[in-house]
Amino acid sequence: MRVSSVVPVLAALLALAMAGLLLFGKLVTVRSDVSDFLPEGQTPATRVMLDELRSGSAASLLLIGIEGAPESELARISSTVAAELRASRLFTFVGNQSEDFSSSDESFLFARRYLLSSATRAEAFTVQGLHRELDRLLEQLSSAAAPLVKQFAFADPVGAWLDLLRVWRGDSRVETRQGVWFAADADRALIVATSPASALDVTAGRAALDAVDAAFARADPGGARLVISGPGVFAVASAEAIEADVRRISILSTLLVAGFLLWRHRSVYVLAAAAIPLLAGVLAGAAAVQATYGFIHAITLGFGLTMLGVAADYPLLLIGQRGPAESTRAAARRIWRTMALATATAVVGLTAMLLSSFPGLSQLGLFSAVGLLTAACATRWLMPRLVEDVAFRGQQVTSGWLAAAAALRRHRGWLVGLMVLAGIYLAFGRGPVWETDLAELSTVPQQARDLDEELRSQFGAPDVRHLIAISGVSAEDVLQASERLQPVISALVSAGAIGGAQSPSSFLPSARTQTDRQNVLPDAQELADRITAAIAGTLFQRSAFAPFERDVATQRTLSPVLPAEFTSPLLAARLAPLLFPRDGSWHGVVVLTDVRAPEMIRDKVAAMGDPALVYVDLKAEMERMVFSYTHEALAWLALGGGLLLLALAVTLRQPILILRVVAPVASAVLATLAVLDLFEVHLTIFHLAALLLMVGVSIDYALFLNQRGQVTADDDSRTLGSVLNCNATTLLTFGLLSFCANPVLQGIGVTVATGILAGIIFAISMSHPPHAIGGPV
Amino acid sequence: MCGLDAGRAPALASELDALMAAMARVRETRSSFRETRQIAGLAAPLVAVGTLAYKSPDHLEKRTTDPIQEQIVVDGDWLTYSKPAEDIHYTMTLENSRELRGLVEAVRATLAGDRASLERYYTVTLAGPIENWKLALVPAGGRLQGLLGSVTIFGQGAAVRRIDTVEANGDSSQMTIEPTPR
Repeated sequence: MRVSSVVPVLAALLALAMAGLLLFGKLVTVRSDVSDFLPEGQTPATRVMLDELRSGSAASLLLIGIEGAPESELARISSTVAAELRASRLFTFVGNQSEDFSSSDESFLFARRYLLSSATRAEAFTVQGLHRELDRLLEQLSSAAAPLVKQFAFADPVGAWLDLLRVWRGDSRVETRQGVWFAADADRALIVATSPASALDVTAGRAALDAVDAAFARADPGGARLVISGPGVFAVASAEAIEADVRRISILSTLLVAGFLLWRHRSVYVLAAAAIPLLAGVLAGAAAVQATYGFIHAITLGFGLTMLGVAADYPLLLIGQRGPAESTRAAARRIWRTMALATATAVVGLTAMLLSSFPGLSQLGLFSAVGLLTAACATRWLMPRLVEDVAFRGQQVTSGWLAAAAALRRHRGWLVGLMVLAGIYLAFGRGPVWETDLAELSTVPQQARDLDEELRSQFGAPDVRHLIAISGVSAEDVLQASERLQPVISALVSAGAIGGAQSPSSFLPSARTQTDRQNVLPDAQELADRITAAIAGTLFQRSAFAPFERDVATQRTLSPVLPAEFTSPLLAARLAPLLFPRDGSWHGVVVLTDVRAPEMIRDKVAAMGDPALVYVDLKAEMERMVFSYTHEALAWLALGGGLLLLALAVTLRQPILILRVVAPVASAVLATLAVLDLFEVHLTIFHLAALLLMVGVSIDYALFLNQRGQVTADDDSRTLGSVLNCNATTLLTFGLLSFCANPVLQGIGVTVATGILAGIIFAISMSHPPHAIGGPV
Repeated sequence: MCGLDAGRAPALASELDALMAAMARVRETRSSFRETRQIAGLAAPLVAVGTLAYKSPDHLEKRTTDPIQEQIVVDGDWLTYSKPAEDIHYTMTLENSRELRGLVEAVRATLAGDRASLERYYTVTLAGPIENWKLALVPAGGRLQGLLGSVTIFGQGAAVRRIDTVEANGDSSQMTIEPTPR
């Protein structure tokens, strides 16, 4: 090999490497959060809610469990870990025992109780109302609860404080043993921590998790185990899972494919040359996606890198099929017709993905289409210039392979019969099962999701599925809308449609309501007179109510409490998930629990005709979304399939040739669907995408095996060899994808690997009969 | 001085142990009570009457019959409060509140003769002969101290006759106990 022929290849590789470094180092943003890959909500309300769930304050929760040691040991570790986490200042709140609110939290609420509590009603402050409350108070003072009652009774005989405490404390499912929180039904000490960072901030999430791990390790845990869950954990886990998958797959598949090609071609030079169209394709695809979307999702990139197997087909076909006396340029010109058709059909098919409104899918479509086109063009016009007159090792197959191919052709009847059976099985079986649960696409393993569900129920954290979304220009708008909703909530509770609800306005009433409550409070003289009248004939001493009179007088003139005043972490943690600003407007969430009749909620809320209020069933919403995207994708796929057939028919013209190309592809699709069905795989939109890719690759095989200009047995053997090379490299990469932890990559891997294996078998069995040995030259 | 204290402590301890042993021998008691409470802000004391029942080692019932009807049952680690008139039935574990457990143990651990439990929450001082003893319990620390000033229990032999409670804010109560003849 002359030096002069090595230089252009090296130069091209170097240039591509530089471009790659520049592109990935400076220009391309890679994101690994799965929510970027998933569709947005279809309505503004759903969009905001999904966004808030994914990145909002509720998402920054860490649920920590410590288990696997005696109770006293668990309690000790829990206290040590919690103390260390508090000291780390990485968390806004760390809780492991019922210290409830701090005294400053309590005094904040206590000092505003007549504005915040629904117990502030005109009736409660009349002489009769006060008298009634005092009777009740006297009874409570006679009871065993007296020590509790006494603490606030004289400062608050109307019970506003107890009412407020009930709202803010909520109910907790945790138990205290040995002074710290334990799960009610398990030997697991519980700690909850909130971090100030968004759950999507993977770096901050990792730091928080590391802090927990370190604190646990330093607490001398012995045999105890640490379990952690929460949205932040999921974000970190899924990002790491994707990164690990992508890294592992790209390294392994590069090694495997390179090893295979080295073995087949015995030439590093071929390897380097074959990498050029592929690298060009990956770079062009990445650049196109970055330019269109502003970022590339790691899944897109992972998938794009598997084009190692597919886009590398083009240079391999070129090198493999070049005749012994043929120049690379001539070979490129000769096979271009077939290659162009193969590329065009694949791109036509990928257009279906490109046009999908599922962001992840359209990214994949764009990446693949641009990548394939670039690789094909690079093979046609760049490769011949780089490897003009280098001699390659012939890619003819051994006679064993030829015999196997002949046997496949001879027994094609059996294969056709098998496919008819598969068709019948699919047609009369339950048919493909579509996955509508987006959680199934999650990169978080089932085990982790089970743990999350368990911890959530042990903590009594609500499962935010059913909610009423409120929107408004200001916080006040949202709170007033939340108050308009209250009668409907009460009606729903008494009708048994829901068990209960958490509304923003029950924690913080609107300023209007607070002012209304202040107007209900009597002035100092009036209140003094009424108290005097109310205590007449009772055991109460007049002077005992001085704190009450003082507090009412102060709170009459307070300015209404605003959301920004809830600065204490514990109080903010209650309010912030229910009331938050986003994108210049304010939003509220009413979380509904124990939902039994979703239709009734929908109807009642709709009947209010209030544009600020929308009932959202997030799970149903997601399912509807996935359903509509899947059906949209199916429609595009059908169109893509139709266009593909049309393109083939127009170009190939002869019916027998069309049959030789279309029948193997159809069989490959049938076989893949049957295999997926046999293994009870639920089909997702990503399986569809993979099916499409597989169809494109199978068409390549059929087209090349049946291409014109094949006249000798040697041509046949060379073609079979090059097609088998392609098949092997693709199988190596997609076979690897099947072992990914990420369900999306795994689904694609299984589908493509099954499909192209079936594709190559059928393509060979239906290809034209071989030419006689030593036929015309 | 020191020598004197050191000499007295074992004697007191053994008297306390003797009382505890006597109490521990009682399997079951039933009695009626009358409780008088002085609460700041009220011109006159509140009076409540009812019955008490104890079953060794850890079951205690306090049933108030007048002026309201309510019932507290402590059994092992669980406390049940009920007030039938308002349909209130409330069960909680004592584990959740050290204060509450402390309040319960003042009476229950005394009745059970469980010195260890008593001393977990209180500094215990015994005075008087076994026929007419006085057991002073002062919270040993923690949140209990913020609620409770002291509990003083008067008894004759293995029978508790009176429980005086002084709360941290100065409110107080006296409960006189009369064994129910069998």
